[in-house]
Amino acid sequence: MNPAFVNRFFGIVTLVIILADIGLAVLLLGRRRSPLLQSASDWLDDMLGGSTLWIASAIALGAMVGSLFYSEVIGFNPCHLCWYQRIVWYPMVIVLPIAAARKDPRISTYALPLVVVGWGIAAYHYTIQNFPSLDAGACDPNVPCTLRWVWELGFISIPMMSLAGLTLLGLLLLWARKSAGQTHE
Amino acid sequence: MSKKAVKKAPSKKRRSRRTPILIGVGFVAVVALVALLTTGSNSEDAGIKQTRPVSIAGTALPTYQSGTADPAVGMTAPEITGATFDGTPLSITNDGIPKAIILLAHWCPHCQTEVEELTPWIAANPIPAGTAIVSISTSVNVAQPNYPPSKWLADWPLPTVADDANSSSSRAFGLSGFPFVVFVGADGKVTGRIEGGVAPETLYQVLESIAGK
Repeated sequence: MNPAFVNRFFGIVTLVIILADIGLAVLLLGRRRSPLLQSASDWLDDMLGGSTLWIASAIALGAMVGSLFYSEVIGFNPCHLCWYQRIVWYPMVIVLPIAAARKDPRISTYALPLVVVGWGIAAYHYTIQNFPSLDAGACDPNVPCTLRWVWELGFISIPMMSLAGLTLLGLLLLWARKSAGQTHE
Repeated sequence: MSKKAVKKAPSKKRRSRRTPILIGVGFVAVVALVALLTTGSNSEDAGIKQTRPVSIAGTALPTYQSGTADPAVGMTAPEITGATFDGTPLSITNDGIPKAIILLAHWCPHCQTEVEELTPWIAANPIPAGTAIVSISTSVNVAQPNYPPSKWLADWPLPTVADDANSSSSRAFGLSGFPFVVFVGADGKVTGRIEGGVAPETLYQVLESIAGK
């Protein structure tokens, strides 16, 4: 398969995820302050119809499949920071669908700390890709973490995909918690 | 409750579950189509060979380890016989000229920075008299960024050997990281190795000291 097509595909998906991140964050933060945002929030609740955790599961599955596709099919070798991020992502593929099936928004209590850790690693990874001098002063001849395997739309690399995905995951978990809280009210 | 009302409730639930799925599938299809339409074909190297056979004479240097005394200092540097990207024969031999040998990988951001810094520096400051700087493009991989190296180094002012597909030259010089600089004295002995980027001024200062200036 043409790596350029795969990179472009995931690049566009990441761009959309980033826009979704911004939208969700605005709604979560602003719904109590603005009637318009509250209406938008209610509309989104109706649209999602209780599927929030399933969507989060799909995001985790997509991230896992994407990362494995890149390493096992395309041949991009994961560096140690990639592996640390995988440690965060891969268990989500198991626990999130279980929480979705049980309609259990309390999964956020357990999953959010992992999301935060993964987010920090992805942010650091993205930073050293753009400022390699912050990492070691030389490239590991085997698998350097400063290597930009993918660079789409001028700013999207694999750690950025992870960063955007983890942000969405975190926001969806918070949204599920919020929706559950409103239901009990 | 009437039979009609009972019948309506389940279909509304199915519709709301189906909506995100349909949106998701539609989204993936649209993105795939856009990606397909906006991705060109790959013919980046225009038929120029990015790796060429090299023959290596001499003993391979031990792998460099930063922070420890370099065991390669005082050893005779290996000699490389190869060619540039366009096939012009080029050899790096112990010819009595003190030299710096810079090993570069196209995908390495530090190498890219090094080339960006050195190119204008060399244009503005002649290489110290009686010394030479040569480079070796190695660790070439079509799947990695900034390929092909011949295009990346099109404006690079130094003679460059295209290493073979097995990166034999990098192993011969004991490369531990990119970029990698090996300093060789007039007697063909290694005087020092540096892993990582070297400031242009430092490169010239070391060359001058090797040349005894």
